Order: sequence, then structure tokens, then C-alpha cells
Amino acid sequence: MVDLELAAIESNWRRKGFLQKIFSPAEQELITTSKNPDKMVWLLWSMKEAAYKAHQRSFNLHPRLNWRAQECRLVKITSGTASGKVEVEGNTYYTTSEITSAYIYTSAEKTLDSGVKNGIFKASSSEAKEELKRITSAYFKVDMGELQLKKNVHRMPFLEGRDGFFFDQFSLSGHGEYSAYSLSLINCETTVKHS
Amino acid sequence: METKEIMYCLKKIVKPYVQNDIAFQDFSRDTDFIKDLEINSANLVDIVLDVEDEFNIAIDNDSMDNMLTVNDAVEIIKTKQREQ
Repeated sequence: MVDLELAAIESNWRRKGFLQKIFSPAEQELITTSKNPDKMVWLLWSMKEAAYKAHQRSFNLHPRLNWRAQECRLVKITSGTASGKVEVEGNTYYTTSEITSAYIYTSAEKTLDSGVKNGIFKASSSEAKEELKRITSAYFKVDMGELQLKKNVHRMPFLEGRDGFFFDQFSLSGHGEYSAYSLSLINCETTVKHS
Repeated sequence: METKEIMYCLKKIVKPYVQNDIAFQDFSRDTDFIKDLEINSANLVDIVLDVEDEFNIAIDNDSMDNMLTVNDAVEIIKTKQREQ
């Protein structure tokens, strides 16, 4: 999630050396040749952040500042959406972005159309967290009140419930005025440890 | 450069990007830029660039990769200064 208004205040990406720390020469070219370089910077940035989160989740990795290890390619871009591919250490992640005048939100998945569901809120993160709990509890038929949101040693969130209920196929993201969740409920039965 | 001196400069560099002022009061080698100071990840790029300017060093991508805490930054700065 990138709140575009806040990003414009917080970060001066035109600063010398900034783009080189994050983007490859090919990605920098996408930015410099774009009609709207500000949006392109934050679109590629959000793709990298989303892809690394998905990568971190699949391999249980610690957080890293390794933007240059992620290579973005745009597949399709319209005024309000973008789809792309991000390579992270030999793995491909497919990204889907929603672009508005206020924010850019990207989710990433390992296989195309894996049934990722997003919720974006113009509110504090607690609203996104509540909705995430509501959907999870309805899908797995567990009591919402018993679901607890926790973080593992690598700071990735998971939901824990009674009788060993465990669900972690989701991600939370927030910046400025906006917060969001992204979750995948397809083929996730195997990831739920229900004793 | 002494660790103490590096820490002093680092604290000044980090200050404008800190989102959690209470955690900043306990600035130590164990302080984590994201977890404790709640620094926005894009601002970590600014910190890396500020550190390069202040200490006159170049931080390569592999070193940046692991710059998550104050201690990580101190070690990277020391290593890069020794290499010069």
C-alpha cells in the first residue's frame, strides 16, 4: 500500500542515488520514460514490496532491504490497474495493482488466479484487521471472538484460534490514510492446522 | 571512528524519519529501524543515502540487505571505513 499524498511528502525519489538503490537500469527506464513518473515509482515499489512479502511467506524469511534482488516487469497497465511479474531469487510472483489518484495497492501471488481477495480501507489498520477476522471466521466456521492476530519471529502476521486453529495465508499493509488486507482461501485447507 | 561517535551521528541521521518518538528515546545498538522506530521502508533508502554522505562510504546492495538495526548499521559503517 502506498498513500500517494503521503509518499509525496515523505520521500523525494528524485534525490541523487535514490532510484539506483531500489531499481535496476530497466526499471529506472520505465520510470524516466513514463508520462507519470511519480506513479510509476510507487507502482514498481509496491510490486516489489508485495512480491517480497509473498516470497517471505513461502520461504519463511526474515525482513530484508533487498529491493534490487527483485526485478519487476509490467505485463499490462491501464489508468486504474496494472498487472506484472516480479522475479525474486529465481521465483516468479504475479502482481495485481489497483491505481487511484489517492493510493496504489498491489497484491502478489505465486500462481495466477489463486483466488486472492483484497480489502482496502480508508481507515486505520484495525478496520482491515477486523474484516480479515470476519472473513476468516466465516470461511472456516470458527468463532470470530476467539481469533487472535499475532506475529511470528519474522514479523509476519497469523491468526490463531481455539483447538490449534492456525491461518497465515494473508498479508496486511498500511500507509498513511489507507490500510488493506489480502488473503487467499483457495487450496488453503492444508495450511490450516485444525486438531 | 569509535562506536560511540558513529552512534551519535547515526542518531542524528535517523531522527527526521522516526515515527515512534518513545522508542527513539531508548535509541541503542539493539534498536530496530522498522520494528521499534516504525520508519517507513522507503525512508530506509534515505537513511542509507544519508549514511553514505555522512561517513563518506559506499554501501553496496548486499550490505544494505541486512541493515535492519542500529547495530547492523554500525558494523557496516566500521567495515566500510576499514576497507578504505
